[in-house]
Formats: sequence, C-alpha cells, structure tokens
Amino acid sequence: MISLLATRLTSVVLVMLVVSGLSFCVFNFLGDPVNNILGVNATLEQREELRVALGLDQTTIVQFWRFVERAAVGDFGVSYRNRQPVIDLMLVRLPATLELVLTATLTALLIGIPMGIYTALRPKGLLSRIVQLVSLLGISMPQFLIGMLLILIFSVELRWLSAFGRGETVRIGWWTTGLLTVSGLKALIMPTITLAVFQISMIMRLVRGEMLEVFRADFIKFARARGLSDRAVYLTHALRNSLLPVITVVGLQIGSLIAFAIVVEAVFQWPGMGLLILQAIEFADFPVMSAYLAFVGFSFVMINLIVDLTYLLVDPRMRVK
Amino acid sequence: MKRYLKVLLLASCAALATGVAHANTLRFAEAQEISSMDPHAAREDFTLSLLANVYEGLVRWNADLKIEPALAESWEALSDTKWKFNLRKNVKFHNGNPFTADDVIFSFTRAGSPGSPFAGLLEPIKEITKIDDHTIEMTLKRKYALLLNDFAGWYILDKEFQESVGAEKPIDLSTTTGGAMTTQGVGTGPFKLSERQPDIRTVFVKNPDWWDKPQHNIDEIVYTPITNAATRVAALLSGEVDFIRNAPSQDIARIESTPGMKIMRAPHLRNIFFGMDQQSAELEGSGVKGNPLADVRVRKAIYQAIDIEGIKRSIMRDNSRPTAVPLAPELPFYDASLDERFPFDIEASKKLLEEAGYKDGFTLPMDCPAGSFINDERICQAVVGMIAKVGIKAQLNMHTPVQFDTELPAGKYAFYMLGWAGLPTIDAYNIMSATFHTPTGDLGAWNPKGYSNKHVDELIEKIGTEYEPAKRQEMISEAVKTHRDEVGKIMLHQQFLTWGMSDKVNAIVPADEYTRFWYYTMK
Repeated sequence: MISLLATRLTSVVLVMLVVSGLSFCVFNFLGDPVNNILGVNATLEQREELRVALGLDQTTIVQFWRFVERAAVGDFGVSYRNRQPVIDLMLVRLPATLELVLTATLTALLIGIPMGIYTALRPKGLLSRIVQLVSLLGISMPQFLIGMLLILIFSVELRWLSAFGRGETVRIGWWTTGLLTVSGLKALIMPTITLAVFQISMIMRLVRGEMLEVFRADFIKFARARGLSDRAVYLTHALRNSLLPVITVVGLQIGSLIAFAIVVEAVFQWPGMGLLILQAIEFADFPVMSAYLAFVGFSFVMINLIVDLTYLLVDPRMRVK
Repeated sequence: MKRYLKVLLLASCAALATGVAHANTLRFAEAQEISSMDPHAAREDFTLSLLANVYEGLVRWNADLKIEPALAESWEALSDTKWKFNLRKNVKFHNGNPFTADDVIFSFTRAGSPGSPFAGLLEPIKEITKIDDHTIEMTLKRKYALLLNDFAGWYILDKEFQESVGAEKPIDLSTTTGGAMTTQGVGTGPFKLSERQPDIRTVFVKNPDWWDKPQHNIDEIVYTPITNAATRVAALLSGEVDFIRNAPSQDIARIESTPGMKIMRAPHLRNIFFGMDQQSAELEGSGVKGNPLADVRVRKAIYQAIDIEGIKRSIMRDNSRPTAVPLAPELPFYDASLDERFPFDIEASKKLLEEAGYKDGFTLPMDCPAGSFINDERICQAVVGMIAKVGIKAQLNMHTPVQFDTELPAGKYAFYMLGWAGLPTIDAYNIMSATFHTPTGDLGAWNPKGYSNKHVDELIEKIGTEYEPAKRQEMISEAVKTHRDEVGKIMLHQQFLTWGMSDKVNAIVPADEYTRFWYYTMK
C-alpha cells in the first residue's frame, strides 16, 4: 500500500509536467493575448513591448521553463482576462465545480444503483422496459439540449428556478458553499440533473449488466443451495461482486466531470472551473490555461489513486496480495 | 418562541429596508466580463462602456454622441499646440475627496506611463501644468485634431485613493500581485461600486453626491456576466434580468412577442466589409498566375456578385443597412452623397472578370472570424455561394476571434471579413488611419498588404491635424470617394444594435454601444 502511494505521487509530478508542457505547444496556435489586452488601436511598438514584458517573445521551451520555475514555488502568474492571480481565481472556482460534481455523482449513484438492481431482477417487467428506454434517451441526449430544455420549462415557463449562477453562497474560510442557503440549493437542481442524467443511465446499465452476469456465476447457485434468503443473495453476494467495475467507472467519471463539466457550466453560467477554462480559451489567457491543465492532470492521478484504494475496501482478495 | 419572533422581526425589517433602499434595481447581463475596475488597464470597449458609469473624463459623449463638458467645465485653444482647461469645481470622488488639477496630472502620468494601454492615446500630449487647483494648461507635441474625442475615453482617478491602495500604476500583468483595482475603484461618476465578485456579480449604486443633475432614476445596477447567449435570453424572458445588450438575431422575434419585453434597435457605428491583399505579386492557392485581387475589376466583380439585400433579408433579418462607405451616418463628417453601392449584378460581374482575364474564375482563400461580428459565419458562407455563381471558388477558413485578430494584422489572410466602428475616437480619422492607410509604422495596422494610394495617405495624415471642420469634411469626402471608386474594400453593411429589455426599462441605444446608465429610467 505504501509503495502504491509512493509510485503514484511521483507519477503526479510527471503527469503535471507533461500535460502543461503539451499545453504550451498548443498556445502558439491559439492566438495572441496581447490584442485582447491592448485593444485594436494599439501600435505595433506597444504590442511588442507587452509581449516582451509577458515573456511571449521567448521560444516555447523558455516560456515553459519559466512557468515550471515559477509554478514550483506556487506562482502561476496573473490571468490576462480578469487580472487576478491565477491561484486565487482557481480557489474561487474550485468549490463551485466540486459541489456540482459531487451532488451529481451522489444523485447518479442513489438513483442509478437501485434502478440497475431492479431492472436486473425483473428484466422482463414493464417498468424495467420503460426505465431501459428512458435511460437510452439519457445516454444519447446532448447535455446542452437537456440543460436548455430544463431552463425553458423551469425558468422561462414556470419561473421556479434561476436560469444562471450559483445563488447565494456562504463563505467558510476560502471555500464558498451554496449548500447552506435556499437559493444556493435551488440553483444546484438543474445543473445537477443535467450533469447526472448521463451518469444515472450509465450506472444503471452497468449495474444491470454486471448483476445479470454475476447471477450466472457458480457462487450464486451455491448461495441459493445453502438456502440463503433472496435478499442476502442479491444484495450481499451479487451486488457486491457487481460493484467493482462501477467504482472504476464512476471514479474516472468524477475526474472527467471536474475537468469537463464545461457544457453544463456554460449553459447555467455556473462559476466553476469548466466555465473558467472556456473563458480562458476564448481570451488566450495562457496563465489560467496552463495552471488549469496542470491541475486537471493532478486530479486525474489522485482520483485513480483513490479508486485503487477503494478496491481494497470492497474486494478482500486484493488486500491479501 | 421569543427567539423565533425576534428573528422573524429582524428578517422582515431587513426585507423592508432593502425594499425601500433599492426601489429601482436594473439587472443587466452581457456575455463579457469587465477586465477589472482599473480604467487604465485595458482599452477594450465593453470594460470602458460599463466603467463610464463610475469614472469620468474631462469631457464625455452625450446621448446624441456629441462631446460635452464633464470634469472640465470649459476649454480654449491658446495656440495650435497649447490648450487651457478650466476644471469643474465642487466635484467629489466617491470617497469624499475633492477633484482637483492634481488628480488630472496624476491620471495623465498613470495612464500615459510606459506599458499602459493608454500610452498611445495620450502620446500627443507633451506635458500638463497646473495653473491653480482648477485650471490646467496642456502642451501638445504637434497639431492634433482629436484631443477631445480621445479625452472622453481617458478617465480621471483620485490621486490619494490610488496611492492609498498602492495602485499608482495600471495593473501590470507581468507581476503577480493583480493589484487592488481588480475589486476596488473610486471615480466621480453617477454610480459607485458597492460589490464586486469577478465573473459572478458586480453591483453599482447611485452616487447621491454626483455633480450633474441626474436624469436617471436608477438606485442600483447589478451586473452579471452570462456567457451563453441562449441562457442570457432565457434569463431575460424569465424576468431574472431586466436588460441584455445584444439579443441574438434568432431570438429577437421571441423577445418581442413576449408580453412585458421589448427590443430597442439602433444603428451601430460598425460597418462590415471584406479587406483584400492588393499588394502581393501572386495570390497563393488561387490556381492562376498573378494576383487577381490587385485588379480593381476583379474586386468590383466580387462586389457586384454579392446579393447584399439577400443577406440583409435572410441572414440579418432586416437588422442591417447595406453600405458603400465604411463611415456610419452616426459618425461626424459622414457624407450621404457617397453612400451609394455598385449594384448587385451577376452579368456585370461576369463581364468584369472576363475583361480582367479571369473568365474561368479562380480559387479564393477566404478567412472569417466566428463570433466577432453579428452572423459573421453565416454571411461568409452565403458569400461563398454567391461568388461561386461567377466562377470564383472560395475556400473558407473560420477562426476564433482571438486567432483571427492575431493573424489578420500579421498579413496571413488574402481575403478577410472585418468590421470597424472607429471606437473609442468616434471619428473618420480612426477608421481611415487603421484600415485605409498604406501599412507604415503605426498607421494601416489593420490593412496589411491592402489598399494603398499615396494621395489618400497624405489626406489621412492631414485629417489627423486639421482643426477647421469645413476643410476636414472636404478631405474626408475625397478620401472616402477615392477609396470607394477603387474598391479598396468590398463593403457589406452597417450592423444594427438590438438590445433586449423589460418594458420597465427605458434605455438609450447609442451607436457606439456604450451603456450610459445615467440616461436610463425605470418604471
């Protein structure tokens, strides 16, 4: 276990270096942030001056090295777009994304797993068929469309929920939470559903498929032969053995949700990391982009580590090794 | 029980208090966010437009886009290069400090410091000297006709406040501090900042001590950036915001048909056109020898192949005005007699191409931005189809605005869409010097490899220094006419502003797209 941690932690640094290194190679194709800062009337001389001041006149390798040097001491520079230190900017945005992703994942698990179990147990039931059909829709509908439909119904027509933003937030240290106010909770509803629809469908289908597989396994027959109750067979033996792939997939999904909740955040103007990177790309805000990509690399490695550790909890066989 | 009562009482008191204090709240949403509260840190229209409500210059634009006195009460030219300004007395900054000549000189040094985006704007000024607390004298390096125009966009800050928060210089992006002005700011304007969460919410409240007599009745402005256009429209339709600046063309009908909503329309200063490489000897990728675009007949042929009325009808949904010159009627020195297009005529176009020796057409590399101008992508696609009818095969490349704005001035495009409004100067000189003049030094930056005519270049330089309006008019008309007859650009249209708002709001829609909230009223 300790060696697992050690290797993972060294790979974190490597992944972050590679990812931000790649991002520096892409910047050259993106455009020049100087235009956005100085405006269209700036003279060539002024543009060049600012380019030098920002170090944009250097080669990609030099720029990258300077970034690594400064990042090593926790300095990611200032955002070109809204002039805040990048670290502050990310710390303000991170809670919004994390709260959204966690509520969406929780919702998906709470709905997806029971639905998966039910459809596995009654594969031919009418309700199962309906659920299956709806989940097909959930998997194939683009998030953008779901979000806009929700806004159309609940904001524009019914006027129950706000179409944008996080509502009122409460500050706890550097963390801002929307979970403690009514408007904050209401603001979470539509983005959570939009983000969770795909996951609910996916988790349901995964649980159903795995359980049907497990039902055919020998140990289930033995369990039945031993005269265990249905409940014990299904929930203790079958479900537990079906969960490993679910944990893997959900874990990896959390990573990609944090990194790519972009669509949902853009539709609902959710002030999180996804919206931040979208705005940064549009502006060619290099400091934000490179810090963000390094952060995404970091969270993917970390989440993989947590997934591996969870395996140990769920599957006793792994502990022995 | 008693405790609950107390809470209840407090809550209702608070509700009552806020209800009374903010009788008229204008909730405003737009795609962008202001770069910071520092009015000298970015020369970008949206930021300057919103900050115009907080900060003021020596002069300002009024509702009809005429220059009127603001922090300067009056001025006179002592000679061609020496001006005297009498500053307004009894003006207070939002923190209570009095406004004096020292603040003007401080703001000049600050905005004009090397590396500041405003250094170029203030470059013609040699020095400013203080005569007394409310009089200054300004010496220019040379004759310069647009001093007052430029001053409307140069905002005055409080010396004491700036020093107290350590923001004597504009926010410098190469440092790590960010600076106090990302979330603070003190001006003399009709509204003052009360809350700022960048990218989430910025609140301005009425300045009760404003020197001018307010025509507005707004107590509070809540600004929320909403990036996604569909969400922004939904926020308006659901009554969560009262005002969005640019309603997307496809949603205009929907907004207008919603009870309690309206669209206010007005022509924009921005004219859209195609610019062309007229200098290169060869047009790369054209499949023909030489550069067809260097031939005025070819340029005119493309012009006449474009069905501009069709674009207006089916793409712009009538929210545009086809134009022949890049100056909008709302701009001073516009000459209506010149604004007459070459007619849309496929036969004439084909004939011109034949005369020029391109009977079988050629391939035209075409570059357009996606998201810089209203319906830019769709217009370019339509034009590809239109010029195909006269045998020109356009190869369309779309670019993100930031990439487009980098590659265009670098001369990477041979045929490109561009729009120019002449902001923030609001004068023909800005448009001509940037997009007509042969690229030399600071002039012609947005005309790479483009139109070049020595006589027009000379005229433009004189237009920049001529004070006499009649003489300016004559020179501007001549330059515009020459440029039009030689098809320096293929003109398309003038965009219309379509601002969506609740019936409760009564706004003004000025052609420069600025939100001057001190003219707004609410029911």
